[in-house]
Amino acid sequence: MSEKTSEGGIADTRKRAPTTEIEYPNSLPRPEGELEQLQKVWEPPRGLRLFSAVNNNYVGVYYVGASFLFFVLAGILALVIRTQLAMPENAFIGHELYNQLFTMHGTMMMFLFAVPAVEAMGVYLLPNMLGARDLPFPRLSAYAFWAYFAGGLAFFCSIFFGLAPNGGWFMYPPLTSTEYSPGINADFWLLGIGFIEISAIAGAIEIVVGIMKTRSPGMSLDKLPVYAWAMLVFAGMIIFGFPAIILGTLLLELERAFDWPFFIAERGGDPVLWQHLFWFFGHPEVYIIFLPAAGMVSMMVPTMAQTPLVAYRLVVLAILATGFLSFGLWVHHMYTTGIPSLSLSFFSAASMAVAIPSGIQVFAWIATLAAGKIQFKTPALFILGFLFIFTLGGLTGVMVALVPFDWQVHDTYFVVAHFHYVLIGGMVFPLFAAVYYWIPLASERPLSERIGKWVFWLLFIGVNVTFFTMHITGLAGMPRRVYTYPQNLSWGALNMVSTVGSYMIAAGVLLFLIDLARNFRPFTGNNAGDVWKAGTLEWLPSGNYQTRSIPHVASREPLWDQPTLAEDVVAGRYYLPGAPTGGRETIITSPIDARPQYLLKLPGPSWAPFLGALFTAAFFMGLTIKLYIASLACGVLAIAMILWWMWDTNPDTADHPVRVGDKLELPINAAGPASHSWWGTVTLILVGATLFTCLVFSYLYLWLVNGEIWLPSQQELPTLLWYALPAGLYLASSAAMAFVFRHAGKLPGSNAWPLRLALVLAIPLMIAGLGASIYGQWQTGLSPTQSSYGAVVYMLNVIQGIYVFALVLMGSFVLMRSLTGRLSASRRASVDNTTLFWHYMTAQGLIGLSLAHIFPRLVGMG
Amino acid sequence: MREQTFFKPLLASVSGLVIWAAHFGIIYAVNALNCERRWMDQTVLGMGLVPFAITMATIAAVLGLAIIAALAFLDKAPNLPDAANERTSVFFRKLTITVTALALVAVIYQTIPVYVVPACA
Repeated sequence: MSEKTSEGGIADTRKRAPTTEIEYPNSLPRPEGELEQLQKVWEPPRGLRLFSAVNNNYVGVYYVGASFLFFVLAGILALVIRTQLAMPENAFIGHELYNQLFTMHGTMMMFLFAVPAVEAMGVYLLPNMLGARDLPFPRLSAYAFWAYFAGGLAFFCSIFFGLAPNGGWFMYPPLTSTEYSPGINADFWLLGIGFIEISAIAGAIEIVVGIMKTRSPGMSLDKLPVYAWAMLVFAGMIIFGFPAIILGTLLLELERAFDWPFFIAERGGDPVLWQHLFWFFGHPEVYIIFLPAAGMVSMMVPTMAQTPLVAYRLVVLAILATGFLSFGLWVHHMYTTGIPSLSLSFFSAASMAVAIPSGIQVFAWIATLAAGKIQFKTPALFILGFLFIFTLGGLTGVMVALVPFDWQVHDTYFVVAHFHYVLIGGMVFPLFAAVYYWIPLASERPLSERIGKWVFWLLFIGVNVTFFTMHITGLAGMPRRVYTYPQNLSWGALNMVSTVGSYMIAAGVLLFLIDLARNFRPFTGNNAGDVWKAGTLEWLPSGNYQTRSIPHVASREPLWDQPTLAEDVVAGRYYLPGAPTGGRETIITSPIDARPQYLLKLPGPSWAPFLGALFTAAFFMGLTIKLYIASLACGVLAIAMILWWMWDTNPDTADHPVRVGDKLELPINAAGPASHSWWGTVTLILVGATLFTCLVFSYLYLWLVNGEIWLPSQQELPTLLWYALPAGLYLASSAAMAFVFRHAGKLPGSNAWPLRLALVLAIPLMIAGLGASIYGQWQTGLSPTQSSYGAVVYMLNVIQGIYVFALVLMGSFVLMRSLTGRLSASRRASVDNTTLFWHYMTAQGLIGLSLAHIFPRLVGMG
Repeated sequence: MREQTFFKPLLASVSGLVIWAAHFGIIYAVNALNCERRWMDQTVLGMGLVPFAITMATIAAVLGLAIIAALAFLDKAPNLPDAANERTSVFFRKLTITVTALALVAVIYQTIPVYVVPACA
């Protein structure tokens, strides 16, 4: 990194804290060739092998770039929409295309731009900010990116064939049921978005484990950068929020494909169930987008003001509280569905309570700006624009949180104006600020300050002209989603103003792209450096391996408090100044106080994530366009690619421990809860458990709202034998896995065959349990198409079946590792994780069985 | 490497919000059951069923929040392993207290409507 400042630079007006005495982990001089080896190990791929890159400096930039591509594409769709609405009775496009355009615009902005963009920034920034060499599962990041990119492009291209979804971005049934949407347009949304959500969850698991386990030594949670707190809560919200929509899309797709009537009222279903599942994800989604943006603002504001963030602890409180409270708001999108008024009041109260943590953050930023001396560089302008626009969006949010007011403006342009103020103010402006702020980290040259100011003013004025006017259009009565309107309603002038504003926004984005083309030069091995005089670790001099040595962190702004930190890091005075195992590595630390625990060997470039993602996308695409054989083949290939990359994980640790400091040696592996892979599995189980909980909610909801016709009167329940038999088989299967777990600890000293036999027994026992559970219902004559009761009972088995399929793969994988000598007491991650998941599956199976057999008897239906 | 100790300070600091979530879920479920199953006319101790059940849920939630805050004040809340980092422990204690205070506001705020809004209108 060069020492130069640029036209984007900032003057250092901050008072420095006194330097503290530090005991360096490594002495100087460093051995000859150490740095060269580190550079060689982390050598970036070139040419076609760029597709095989897995480390965050590459994948992060690809990811951010792809999200901006989708932002531009969705923005072009918005321009077509605004052109159509500019004049009354306009015939520029017809209503069929218009329906597809507004559905695609909303869907792409939310699912292909907003969430991926903030996740992408996390993938790029977090290792830099935490002082890690990379995130703990680099191939998972690469897989998540390529899956999203390939799936997103295929989804977007559906519009060129007239196959794009057209039921609005929230796809309410019955409009999207087979009866009213018979084509495959809705299937593109259901399978495409469901698939992209899985990619987002993969990224979230990576982020949680990365933040908790790969921080620099000394970076205890009270010294964690606010952005990392925000990303931690963001990832947690994805883990608990996204499974609801994945379940919803599964239910609606099963209804459309096989006539399972989850949402068909005549057969005991309820379309409002979709709204509950959608908004249980959809409202937290707003905060999923906002929190990372707020986290970025909390990093930029102190730098722009050259003073530490005011009220760090209260900001952390606000982030945590927002994460929780945002899950109590989903019904505020459903005020007109006939829910009892007292229930609406609970959600109205929560909608107002969530304003408290948002307010805390806004006041903390204002206080920080007041405490320091703000320098009006481009990122600062975008932050001020964000404060103005987002606060206005928040105020109209409090207005629509009031039930009677919401009834008046529901489905009008007032609501369109409100959520664009919230989303553009709360996410797009901070993202532009962040891009201007962090590009000197990724590029040889920063972006132009002069052009940046033009971009800001065009966007700021354009957004207000477009969307402030829409409040009035809405109050004048114009409904959303109409492709034209008659002249005599006098909405023409207001719409024309909004259209002019939208073209100003487009001009701003175009100018930004020109600036990018002129100045953005990534992957050159050189960056513009710390042009802002910032205080956090990402601004340390770095290469593809991140920092030469991993620093010991003693404060929240280490670069401000330790003036020689950069020099010492470059000299190799801190941890892991080389590559002691001869491969890529990072230090795993304890989750709260960040004490070094072990050295994680990281994988290098690989084709497996790229190919695996392409085959996964092709699998879902094949399902959508009903090419089932090709789809199946792609699914098998996708699994093969994933097993390929899993095969060389959990390496032999014969060469441990290794020295990472003069007085610090670390093992290469850890087993059980200290292992990063254990954390990954626990996080995955939380995703699975949340999805299952949403299904339990759906079961109980359908029972509650349609109790009289839910269970057909002639339908008999299976005898309790069909409860006990599958439960016994699940438990026996888990017992066999417990034996596998215990026996793995005795390897390689003991005979491996008892372990293998137990595995061979556990797999069919689990499958037999599932088979018995399904047969128990089937032999009573219960059909999934007959009623919502039948559909949801079989759905319990479908979800169990999907997880059992994963278990069969995991069990077979463990067996193969045992047969090839890759399993021992010190190399047992596959056994630990498979056993953990296995026991969870048994517990889930027992709960599902109890719901299907015991609950109906308890409520007197048997 | 006592990883399990991670959960103690984390759970302590967010337990106020967990209580808020449980309270929210319970009062929503109680009112949904009441309106769908038509229990509106039933009374307990002279109160309507829903106001009674929600009042009880709120009392339980407030008591839970008070205990968490008191433990944090008295420094009895679960701390870090072997008190390795006093600053980090203090951070978590203060975080616990402020989170609990915010949760208390949210719990009381969502309880108030039960006394002024008809349950199933």
